[in-house]
Amino acid sequence: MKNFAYYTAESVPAAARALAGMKNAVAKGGGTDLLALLKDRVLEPDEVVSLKGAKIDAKVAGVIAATTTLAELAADPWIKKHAPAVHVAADEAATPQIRNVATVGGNLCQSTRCWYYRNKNFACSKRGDDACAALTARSQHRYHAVFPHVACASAHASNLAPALIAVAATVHCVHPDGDRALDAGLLYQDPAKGRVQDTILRPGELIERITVPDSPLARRSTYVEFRERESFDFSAVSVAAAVHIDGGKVIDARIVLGAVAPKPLRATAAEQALVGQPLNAATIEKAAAAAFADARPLSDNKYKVVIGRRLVMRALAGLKEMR
Amino acid sequence: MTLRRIAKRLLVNGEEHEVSFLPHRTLLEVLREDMALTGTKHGCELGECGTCTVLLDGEPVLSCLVLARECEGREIETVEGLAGASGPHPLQHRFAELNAAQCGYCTPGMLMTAMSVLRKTPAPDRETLRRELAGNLCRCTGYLKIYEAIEMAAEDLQDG
Repeated sequence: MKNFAYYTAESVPAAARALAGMKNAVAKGGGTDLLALLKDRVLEPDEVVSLKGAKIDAKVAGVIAATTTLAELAADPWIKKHAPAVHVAADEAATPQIRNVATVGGNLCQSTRCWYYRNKNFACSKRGDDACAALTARSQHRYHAVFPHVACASAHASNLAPALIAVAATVHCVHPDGDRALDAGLLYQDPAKGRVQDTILRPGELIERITVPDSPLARRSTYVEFRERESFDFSAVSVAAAVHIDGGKVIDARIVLGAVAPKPLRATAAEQALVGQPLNAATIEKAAAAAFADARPLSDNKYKVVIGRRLVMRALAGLKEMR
Repeated sequence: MTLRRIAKRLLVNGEEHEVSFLPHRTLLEVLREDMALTGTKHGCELGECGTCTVLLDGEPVLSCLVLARECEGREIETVEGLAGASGPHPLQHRFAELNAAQCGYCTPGMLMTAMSVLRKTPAPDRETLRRELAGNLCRCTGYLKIYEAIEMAAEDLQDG
């Protein structure tokens, strides 16, 4: 990797101020994704600002500091009880070694696993090229998007993002020009030529903490994923789902698909298929069909649609049995 | 940008070392190249194999994905620290006895993860071992002998 100047910050606002004054800098959490990108020279920053020592006030139940490791999140009893989807997503991520180092903020801001993005010998619109190698005729794309953007077929890699979106978590962002709090679902945007990041974070803007609400929706949530290997693998498709059922009917639902599009995808049609209905075999099947009705898989990843529908059904069936 | 080395104090296997290295070096590179501790193996370099596993404050981490400079003030344990004055650690003894190392490349990482498991769970069941060792790949696929060796070492340690 290219050498870089290294800075630490005592707080996230201090890190944001430092980053805003730099031209070619990146923020670093645990570094498990960043160091791999630096080694492959996908990113070649002049400055790295580490958030490892940044102090974040997150003592209240349901408040997750961005620097929390996945292992710490998976061990959080409040999260396990009040947001099972988030617990499972953290607990099943990667491997023990990665979970001991990788942070929640880093998981949300990680780069796609797209091998064309990660190999500069291939064209990549995220890296500023006109074409997307994954969308060319003879590409290898079995792990790519089944809801591809016109310019980019990458699949979003975070498993925590769908879970946090499903439980309607809030992401608190810090920037020298003003802080903001976003619904986790609004953190991501469609890809654009020359933009490597998937989030809407502005230069110098950082996630400081995430708030998981104490809500009926979050308590009745789950996360399921399919991966080729039982461990040590990114998901090929993941589904996070949450429902609030009152009086025998679904009054609120969130279904979020991971690894099928360049960003985590809320399956709003599937959610609408459930609201106002009882959660039963028929409505579950309708929701699963609706979730992938608009999928446009590439030639080698149609399996993601088949498995994705089953995962939606499995997730919702699990929620039906919960409590 | 000038490539100036930085000096850090690293606590490795109970001994403090003053080491100077380039600012962007990973812990794996510093252990192997600056400290000549070559027991920790250099595998995929991208967090996909687990052979570079060392313990940081008792927890297994991938030394290829940790910056050495961020390890100052923390306790680093490598495979070189496993054996004691009385000879190999029971884990090493049982690995050798059962031929749990085939090509041997994953062994240092396996041993370090196993060490952290046995400290937390003195008598781990097979499911616990499978889960805790999920981040260490053995390309010879010799997992069964590895699990058995750890289970036997666990008994040795409990028997004192």
